[in-house]
Amino acid sequence: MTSVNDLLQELNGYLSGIATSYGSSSQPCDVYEGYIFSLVVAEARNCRGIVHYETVRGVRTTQLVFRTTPGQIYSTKHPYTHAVITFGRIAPPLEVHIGVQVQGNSGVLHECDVLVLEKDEADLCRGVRVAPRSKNCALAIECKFYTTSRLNLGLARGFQGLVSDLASNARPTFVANVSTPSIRRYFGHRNRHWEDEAVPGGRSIPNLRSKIRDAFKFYLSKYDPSFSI
Amino acid sequence: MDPEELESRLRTMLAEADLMWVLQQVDDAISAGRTEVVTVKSRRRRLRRNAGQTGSIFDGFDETLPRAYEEREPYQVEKFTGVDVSKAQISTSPLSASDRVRVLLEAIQRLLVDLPRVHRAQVKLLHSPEMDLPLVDDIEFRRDEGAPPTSGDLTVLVDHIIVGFAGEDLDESVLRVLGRLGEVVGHDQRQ
Repeated sequence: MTSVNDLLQELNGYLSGIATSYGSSSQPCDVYEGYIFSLVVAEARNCRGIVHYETVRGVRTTQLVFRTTPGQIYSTKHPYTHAVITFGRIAPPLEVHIGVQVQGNSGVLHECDVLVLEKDEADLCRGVRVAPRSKNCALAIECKFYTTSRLNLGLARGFQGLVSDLASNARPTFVANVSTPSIRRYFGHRNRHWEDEAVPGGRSIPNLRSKIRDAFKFYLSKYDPSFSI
Repeated sequence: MDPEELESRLRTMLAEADLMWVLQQVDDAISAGRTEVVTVKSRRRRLRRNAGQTGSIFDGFDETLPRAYEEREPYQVEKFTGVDVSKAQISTSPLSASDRVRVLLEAIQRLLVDLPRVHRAQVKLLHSPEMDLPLVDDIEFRRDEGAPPTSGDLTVLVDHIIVGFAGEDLDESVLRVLGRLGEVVGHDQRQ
Protein backbone atom coordinates (compact mmCIF):
# COMPACT_ATOMS: atom_id res chain seq x y z
CA MET A 1 0.00 0.00 0.00
CA THR A 2 1.47 3.34 -1.04
CA SER A 3 1.65 5.79 1.83
CA VAL A 4 0.58 9.41 1.61
CA ASN A 5 4.23 10.39 1.93
CA ASP A 6 5.10 8.26 -1.10
CA LEU A 7 2.27 9.86 -3.08
CA LEU A 8 3.43 13.34 -2.13
CA GLN A 9 6.98 12.49 -3.12
CA GLU A 10 5.79 11.27 -6.53
CA LEU A 11 3.68 14.41 -6.96
CA ASN A 12 6.65 16.56 -6.02
CA GLY A 13 8.60 15.04 -8.90
CA TYR A 14 5.85 15.90 -11.38
CA LEU A 15 5.63 19.48 -10.07
CA SER A 16 9.37 19.98 -10.35
CA GLY A 17 9.23 18.76 -13.94
CA ILE A 18 6.54 21.18 -15.03
CA ALA A 19 7.74 24.20 -13.08
CA THR A 20 10.41 24.93 -15.67
CA SER A 21 7.75 25.14 -18.38
CA TYR A 22 5.21 27.26 -16.53
CA GLY A 23 7.03 29.54 -14.13
CA SER A 24 4.53 32.38 -14.26
CA SER A 25 0.77 32.72 -14.60
CA SER A 26 1.14 34.39 -18.00
CA GLN A 27 2.66 31.29 -19.57
CA PRO A 28 -0.40 29.04 -19.17
CA CYS A 29 -2.47 31.92 -20.54
CA ASP A 30 -0.13 32.09 -23.55
CA VAL A 31 -0.60 28.40 -24.19
CA TYR A 32 -4.36 28.72 -23.81
CA GLU A 33 -4.51 31.67 -26.22
CA GLY A 34 -2.42 29.61 -28.65
CA TYR A 35 -4.93 26.78 -28.34
CA ILE A 36 -7.90 29.09 -29.04
CA PHE A 37 -5.96 30.59 -31.99
CA SER A 38 -5.45 27.09 -33.35
CA LEU A 39 -9.19 26.40 -33.00
CA VAL A 40 -9.99 29.54 -35.03
CA VAL A 41 -7.53 28.48 -37.72
CA ALA A 42 -8.82 24.89 -37.78
CA GLU A 43 -12.42 26.08 -38.00
CA ALA A 44 -11.50 28.42 -40.85
CA ARG A 45 -10.06 25.47 -42.72
CA ASN A 46 -13.17 23.48 -41.87
CA CYS A 47 -15.24 26.28 -43.45
CA ARG A 48 -13.29 25.97 -46.73
CA GLY A 49 -10.93 28.79 -45.92
CA ILE A 50 -7.35 28.77 -47.24
CA VAL A 51 -4.85 29.48 -44.47
CA HIS A 52 -1.26 30.63 -44.40
CA TYR A 53 0.93 32.39 -41.87
CA GLU A 54 2.69 35.73 -42.27
CA THR A 55 5.02 37.81 -40.18
CA VAL A 56 4.37 41.44 -39.34
CA ARG A 57 6.46 42.31 -42.42
CA GLY A 58 4.22 40.25 -44.69
CA VAL A 59 6.68 37.37 -45.19
CA ARG A 60 5.23 33.87 -45.31
CA THR A 61 6.50 31.69 -42.48
CA THR A 62 6.15 28.38 -40.70
CA GLN A 63 7.74 29.68 -37.48
CA LEU A 64 4.95 31.16 -35.40
CA VAL A 65 5.91 33.94 -32.98
CA PHE A 66 3.24 35.32 -30.67
CA ARG A 67 3.23 37.98 -27.95
CA THR A 68 3.35 37.07 -24.27
CA THR A 69 1.33 40.19 -23.50
CA PRO A 70 -0.92 42.28 -25.72
CA GLY A 71 0.98 44.68 -27.96
CA GLN A 72 0.52 46.72 -31.10
CA ILE A 73 -0.30 45.02 -34.37
CA TYR A 74 2.52 46.99 -36.04
CA SER A 75 5.24 46.07 -33.52
CA THR A 76 8.36 44.73 -35.22
CA LYS A 77 10.41 43.90 -32.14
CA HIS A 78 10.04 40.23 -33.08
CA PRO A 79 8.69 38.72 -36.31
CA TYR A 80 5.24 38.41 -34.78
CA THR A 81 3.01 36.10 -36.75
CA HIS A 82 -0.64 36.00 -37.73
CA ALA A 83 -2.78 33.67 -39.81
CA VAL A 84 -4.28 34.87 -43.09
CA ILE A 85 -7.59 33.28 -44.08
CA THR A 86 -9.05 33.54 -47.57
CA PHE A 87 -12.62 32.49 -48.29
CA GLY A 88 -12.97 32.40 -52.07
CA ARG A 89 -12.05 35.22 -54.46
CA ILE A 90 -14.56 37.90 -53.56
CA ALA A 91 -14.48 38.45 -49.79
CA PRO A 92 -11.39 40.30 -48.55
CA PRO A 93 -9.12 38.01 -46.51
CA LEU A 94 -9.19 37.94 -42.71
CA GLU A 95 -6.28 37.83 -40.27
CA VAL A 96 -6.10 36.05 -36.91
CA HIS A 97 -3.85 37.55 -34.24
CA ILE A 98 -2.90 36.75 -30.67
CA GLY A 99 -2.56 39.56 -28.14
CA VAL A 100 -3.08 42.81 -30.00
CA GLN A 101 -4.69 46.05 -28.96
CA VAL A 102 -7.82 47.30 -30.68
CA GLN A 103 -9.52 50.69 -30.62
CA GLY A 104 -13.00 50.78 -29.10
CA ASN A 105 -15.89 53.06 -30.02
CA SER A 106 -14.86 55.47 -27.27
CA GLY A 107 -11.41 55.91 -28.82
CA VAL A 108 -9.49 54.02 -26.11
CA LEU A 109 -7.39 50.90 -26.63
CA HIS A 110 -8.43 47.45 -25.42
CA GLU A 111 -6.46 44.23 -25.29
CA CYS A 112 -7.77 41.31 -27.33
CA ASP A 113 -6.38 37.85 -26.65
CA VAL A 114 -7.44 36.40 -30.00
CA LEU A 115 -8.62 38.80 -32.69
CA VAL A 116 -10.01 38.17 -36.17
CA LEU A 117 -10.06 41.28 -38.35
CA GLU A 118 -10.15 42.33 -41.98
CA LYS A 119 -6.75 42.14 -43.67
CA ASP A 120 -7.31 45.55 -45.28
CA GLU A 121 -7.65 47.11 -41.83
CA ALA A 122 -4.59 45.22 -40.55
CA ASP A 123 -2.49 46.33 -43.55
CA LEU A 124 -3.52 49.93 -42.98
CA CYS A 125 -2.65 49.72 -39.28
CA ARG A 126 0.79 48.21 -39.97
CA GLY A 127 1.42 50.82 -42.63
CA VAL A 128 0.68 53.91 -40.59
CA ARG A 129 1.25 52.42 -37.09
CA VAL A 130 -2.21 52.77 -35.60
CA ALA A 131 -4.42 50.32 -33.72
CA PRO A 132 -7.20 48.54 -35.60
CA ARG A 133 -10.76 49.77 -35.14
CA SER A 134 -13.24 47.32 -33.71
CA LYS A 135 -15.78 48.06 -36.44
CA ASN A 136 -13.47 46.20 -38.83
CA CYS A 137 -13.10 43.16 -36.59
CA ALA A 138 -15.02 39.93 -37.08
CA LEU A 139 -14.34 38.24 -33.73
CA ALA A 140 -12.68 39.18 -30.43
CA ILE A 141 -12.07 36.39 -27.92
CA GLU A 142 -11.08 36.93 -24.30
CA CYS A 143 -9.20 33.84 -23.05
CA LYS A 144 -8.77 32.84 -19.39
CA PHE A 145 -6.85 29.83 -18.09
CA TYR A 146 -7.06 29.38 -14.34
CA THR A 147 -6.04 26.56 -12.06
CA THR A 148 -8.99 27.06 -9.71
CA SER A 149 -12.65 27.00 -10.64
CA ARG A 150 -13.49 30.23 -8.89
CA LEU A 151 -12.87 32.96 -11.45
CA ASN A 152 -12.94 36.43 -9.99
CA LEU A 153 -16.09 38.29 -10.97
CA GLY A 154 -13.84 41.24 -11.82
CA LEU A 155 -12.84 39.34 -14.98
CA ALA A 156 -16.48 39.25 -16.08
CA ARG A 157 -16.93 42.93 -15.23
CA GLY A 158 -13.83 43.76 -17.28
CA PHE A 159 -15.22 41.78 -20.18
CA GLN A 160 -18.54 43.59 -19.83
CA GLY A 161 -16.67 46.88 -20.18
CA LEU A 162 -14.90 45.56 -23.27
CA VAL A 163 -18.19 44.47 -24.84
CA SER A 164 -19.78 47.84 -24.25
CA ASP A 165 -16.98 49.61 -26.14
CA LEU A 166 -16.40 47.23 -29.07
CA ALA A 167 -18.51 47.30 -32.20
CA SER A 168 -21.13 44.56 -32.20
CA ASN A 169 -19.69 42.89 -35.31
CA ALA A 170 -16.55 42.09 -33.26
CA ARG A 171 -18.77 39.54 -31.46
CA PRO A 172 -16.83 39.68 -28.17
CA THR A 173 -16.69 36.20 -26.64
CA PHE A 174 -15.39 35.14 -23.22
CA VAL A 175 -13.69 31.73 -23.12
CA ALA A 176 -12.34 30.03 -20.00
CA ASN A 177 -11.04 26.60 -19.07
CA VAL A 178 -13.11 26.55 -15.88
CA SER A 179 -16.69 27.37 -15.01
CA THR A 180 -17.83 29.65 -12.23
CA PRO A 181 -21.57 29.84 -11.43
CA SER A 182 -21.49 33.54 -10.59
CA ILE A 183 -19.89 34.35 -13.94
CA ARG A 184 -22.42 32.22 -15.79
CA ARG A 185 -25.20 34.06 -13.97
CA TYR A 186 -23.60 37.45 -14.73
CA PHE A 187 -23.14 36.79 -18.44
CA GLY A 188 -26.52 35.10 -18.76
CA HIS A 189 -28.20 38.12 -17.21
CA ARG A 190 -26.45 40.38 -19.71
CA ASN A 191 -26.93 38.11 -22.71
CA ARG A 192 -23.21 37.84 -23.48
CA HIS A 193 -21.34 35.29 -25.59
CA TRP A 194 -19.28 32.96 -23.43
CA GLU A 195 -18.00 29.39 -23.30
CA ASP A 196 -16.53 27.90 -20.15
CA GLU A 197 -14.84 24.55 -19.51
CA ALA A 198 -13.38 25.04 -22.98
CA VAL A 199 -10.61 22.44 -22.88
CA PRO A 200 -9.64 19.76 -25.42
CA GLY A 201 -12.34 17.13 -25.58
CA GLY A 202 -14.68 19.29 -23.49
CA ARG A 203 -18.34 19.73 -24.32
CA SER A 204 -17.86 23.46 -24.89
CA ILE A 205 -15.44 23.07 -27.78
CA PRO A 206 -18.10 22.25 -30.43
CA ASN A 207 -20.10 25.27 -29.18
CA LEU A 208 -17.04 27.49 -29.39
CA ARG A 209 -16.25 26.26 -32.89
CA SER A 210 -19.84 27.00 -33.82
CA LYS A 211 -19.45 30.56 -32.56
CA ILE A 212 -16.27 30.95 -34.61
CA ARG A 213 -18.08 29.61 -37.66
CA ASP A 214 -20.93 32.07 -37.07
CA ALA A 215 -18.40 34.92 -37.10
CA PHE A 216 -17.08 33.75 -40.48
CA LYS A 217 -20.63 33.27 -41.76
CA PHE A 218 -21.66 36.76 -40.67
CA TYR A 219 -18.54 38.26 -42.28
CA LEU A 220 -19.12 36.43 -45.55
CA SER A 221 -22.78 37.45 -45.61
CA LYS A 222 -21.57 41.03 -46.03
CA TYR A 223 -18.95 40.44 -48.72
CA ASP A 224 -19.78 37.20 -50.50
CA PRO A 225 -23.18 35.71 -49.65
CA SER A 226 -22.73 33.15 -52.41
CA PHE A 227 -19.80 31.53 -50.58
CA SER A 228 -21.22 28.73 -48.52
CA ILE A 229 -19.38 27.41 -45.51
CA MET B 1 -2.27 12.45 7.81
CA ASP B 2 -4.92 15.04 8.68
CA PRO B 3 -6.20 17.60 6.14
CA GLU B 4 -4.31 20.49 7.76
CA GLU B 5 -0.98 18.69 7.43
CA LEU B 6 -1.75 17.60 3.87
CA GLU B 7 -2.64 21.20 2.96
CA SER B 8 0.63 22.40 4.46
CA ARG B 9 2.67 19.79 2.58
CA LEU B 10 1.00 20.63 -0.75
CA ARG B 11 1.57 24.34 -0.22
CA THR B 12 5.23 23.75 0.57
CA MET B 13 5.65 21.64 -2.57
CA LEU B 14 4.16 24.33 -4.79
CA ALA B 15 6.29 27.03 -3.18
CA GLU B 16 9.47 24.97 -3.50
CA ALA B 17 8.69 24.28 -7.16
CA ASP B 18 8.53 28.05 -7.67
CA LEU B 19 4.86 27.87 -8.59
CA MET B 20 3.81 30.81 -6.45
CA TRP B 21 1.33 31.95 -9.09
CA VAL B 22 -0.63 28.74 -8.57
CA LEU B 23 -0.65 29.33 -4.81
CA GLN B 24 -1.88 32.86 -5.46
CA GLN B 25 -4.83 31.57 -7.46
CA VAL B 26 -5.52 28.96 -4.78
CA ASP B 27 -5.48 31.63 -2.06
CA ASP B 28 -7.83 33.83 -4.08
CA ALA B 29 -10.26 30.93 -4.38
CA ILE B 30 -9.96 30.11 -0.67
CA SER B 31 -10.53 33.72 0.38
CA ALA B 32 -13.64 33.85 -1.82
CA GLY B 33 -15.01 30.99 0.28
CA ARG B 34 -17.90 28.74 -0.57
CA THR B 35 -20.67 30.66 -2.27
CA GLU B 36 -24.27 29.61 -2.07
CA VAL B 37 -27.34 31.24 -3.56
CA VAL B 38 -30.10 31.31 -0.96
CA THR B 39 -33.51 32.80 -0.43
CA VAL B 40 -34.42 34.39 2.87
CA LYS B 41 -37.92 34.00 4.15
CA SER B 42 -39.49 35.41 7.26
CA ARG B 43 -41.53 32.80 9.12
CA ARG B 44 -43.92 35.51 10.17
CA ARG B 45 -44.67 36.42 6.58
CA ARG B 46 -45.48 32.82 5.81
CA LEU B 47 -47.96 32.68 8.70
CA ARG B 48 -49.61 35.84 7.50
CA ARG B 49 -50.06 34.34 4.09
CA ASN B 50 -51.91 31.52 5.77
CA ALA B 51 -54.01 33.82 7.92
CA GLY B 52 -57.58 32.64 8.14
CA GLN B 53 -56.63 28.99 8.10
CA THR B 54 -57.18 26.88 11.16
CA GLY B 55 -55.17 24.09 12.65
CA SER B 56 -52.97 23.23 15.55
CA ILE B 57 -50.00 25.24 14.30
CA PHE B 58 -52.05 28.43 14.42
CA ASP B 59 -53.38 27.84 17.93
CA GLY B 60 -52.41 30.54 20.40
CA PHE B 61 -51.17 32.92 17.71
CA ASP B 62 -53.29 35.91 16.83
CA GLU B 63 -52.16 37.41 13.51
CA THR B 64 -54.27 40.49 14.00
CA LEU B 65 -52.20 41.70 16.95
CA PRO B 66 -48.93 43.57 16.37
CA ARG B 67 -45.96 41.64 17.76
CA ALA B 68 -43.11 43.06 19.76
CA TYR B 69 -39.83 43.34 17.86
CA GLU B 70 -38.11 40.79 20.12
CA GLU B 71 -40.89 38.27 19.59
CA ARG B 72 -40.52 38.11 15.84
CA GLU B 73 -39.67 34.76 14.39
CA PRO B 74 -36.12 34.31 13.03
CA TYR B 75 -35.51 34.42 9.30
CA GLN B 76 -35.42 31.18 7.41
CA VAL B 77 -32.56 30.66 4.97
CA GLU B 78 -33.16 28.09 2.25
CA LYS B 79 -31.28 27.06 -0.83
CA PHE B 80 -32.53 29.12 -3.78
CA THR B 81 -34.25 26.98 -6.37
CA GLY B 82 -36.46 29.50 -8.16
CA VAL B 83 -35.90 31.51 -11.32
CA ASP B 84 -36.71 34.99 -10.01
CA VAL B 85 -33.21 36.26 -9.18
CA SER B 86 -34.64 39.24 -7.34
CA LYS B 87 -35.49 36.79 -4.54
CA ALA B 88 -31.99 35.30 -4.45
CA GLN B 89 -29.27 36.35 -2.03
CA ILE B 90 -25.63 35.32 -1.86
CA SER B 91 -24.23 33.60 1.21
CA THR B 92 -20.57 32.74 1.67
CA SER B 93 -18.88 30.51 4.20
CA PRO B 94 -15.21 29.74 4.80
CA LEU B 95 -13.70 26.57 3.38
CA SER B 96 -12.79 23.73 5.70
CA ALA B 97 -9.30 22.23 5.69
CA SER B 98 -10.62 19.38 3.53
CA ASP B 99 -12.15 21.88 1.12
CA ARG B 100 -8.84 23.73 0.91
CA VAL B 101 -7.00 20.50 0.11
CA ARG B 102 -9.52 19.84 -2.67
CA VAL B 103 -8.88 23.32 -4.11
CA LEU B 104 -5.13 22.62 -4.05
CA LEU B 105 -5.50 19.21 -5.69
CA GLU B 106 -7.82 20.68 -8.32
CA ALA B 107 -5.28 23.39 -9.10
CA ILE B 108 -2.46 20.85 -9.37
CA GLN B 109 -4.55 18.72 -11.72
CA ARG B 110 -5.22 21.71 -14.00
CA LEU B 111 -1.50 22.46 -14.00
CA LEU B 112 -0.17 18.93 -14.50
CA VAL B 113 -2.89 17.39 -16.68
CA ASP B 114 -5.21 20.00 -18.24
CA LEU B 115 -2.53 22.47 -19.28
CA PRO B 116 -0.32 19.89 -21.06
CA ARG B 117 -3.48 18.61 -22.81
CA VAL B 118 -4.21 22.15 -24.03
CA HIS B 119 -0.58 22.37 -25.10
CA ARG B 120 -0.70 19.11 -27.02
CA ALA B 121 -4.04 20.00 -28.63
CA GLN B 122 -2.64 23.32 -29.83
CA VAL B 123 0.34 21.67 -31.46
CA LYS B 124 -1.79 18.86 -32.88
CA LEU B 125 -4.23 21.30 -34.50
CA LEU B 126 -1.47 23.38 -36.05
CA HIS B 127 0.76 20.50 -36.99
CA SER B 128 -1.66 17.92 -38.23
CA PRO B 129 -1.29 16.98 -41.92
CA GLU B 130 -4.89 15.75 -42.07
CA MET B 131 -6.09 19.26 -41.23
CA ASP B 132 -4.68 20.39 -44.58
CA LEU B 133 -3.16 23.42 -42.89
CA PRO B 134 0.34 24.70 -43.60
CA LEU B 135 2.75 22.81 -41.37
CA VAL B 136 4.19 24.74 -38.48
CA ASP B 137 7.83 24.19 -37.57
CA ASP B 138 7.91 26.12 -34.33
CA ILE B 139 5.71 28.14 -32.00
CA GLU B 140 7.21 30.81 -29.78
CA PHE B 141 5.86 33.45 -27.44
CA ARG B 142 8.04 36.57 -27.17
CA ARG B 143 7.73 39.59 -24.97
CA ASP B 144 6.74 42.74 -26.85
CA GLU B 145 8.28 46.16 -26.36
CA GLY B 146 7.03 47.79 -23.18
CA ALA B 147 5.83 44.47 -21.72
CA PRO B 148 6.77 43.80 -18.09
CA PRO B 149 9.68 41.37 -17.58
CA THR B 150 7.41 39.20 -15.43
CA SER B 151 5.47 38.23 -18.54
CA GLY B 152 8.45 36.04 -19.45
CA ASP B 153 9.43 34.47 -22.73
CA LEU B 154 8.06 31.08 -23.56
CA THR B 155 9.25 28.83 -26.32
CA VAL B 156 7.03 26.02 -27.45
CA LEU B 157 8.71 23.38 -29.55
CA VAL B 158 6.50 21.37 -31.79
CA ASP B 159 8.53 18.19 -31.46
CA HIS B 160 9.27 18.57 -27.77
CA ILE B 161 6.07 19.97 -26.37
CA ILE B 162 7.20 20.01 -22.79
CA VAL B 163 10.33 18.20 -21.75
CA GLY B 164 9.27 15.10 -19.88
CA PHE B 165 5.61 15.99 -20.18
CA ALA B 166 4.47 14.84 -23.54
CA GLY B 167 2.47 11.74 -22.84
CA GLU B 168 -1.04 10.76 -21.89
CA ASP B 169 0.41 7.89 -19.84
CA LEU B 170 1.86 10.50 -17.57
CA ASP B 171 -1.57 12.13 -17.25
CA GLU B 172 -2.91 8.85 -15.93
CA SER B 173 -0.08 8.57 -13.40
CA VAL B 174 -0.73 12.10 -12.14
CA LEU B 175 -4.48 11.51 -11.94
CA ARG B 176 -3.89 8.32 -9.98
CA VAL B 177 -1.74 10.14 -7.42
CA LEU B 178 -4.19 13.04 -7.12
CA GLY B 179 -7.11 10.64 -6.79
CA ARG B 180 -5.39 8.78 -3.94
CA LEU B 181 -4.57 12.03 -2.18
CA GLY B 182 -8.18 13.13 -2.65
CA GLU B 183 -9.30 10.01 -0.82
CA VAL B 184 -7.46 11.29 2.25
CA VAL B 185 -9.94 14.14 2.59
CA GLY B 186 -12.92 12.26 1.13
CA HIS B 187 -15.33 13.25 -1.59
CA ASP B 188 -17.07 16.59 -1.43
CA GLN B 189 -20.55 15.66 -0.23
CA ARG B 190 -21.97 19.09 -0.93
CA GLN B 191 -21.36 19.08 -4.64
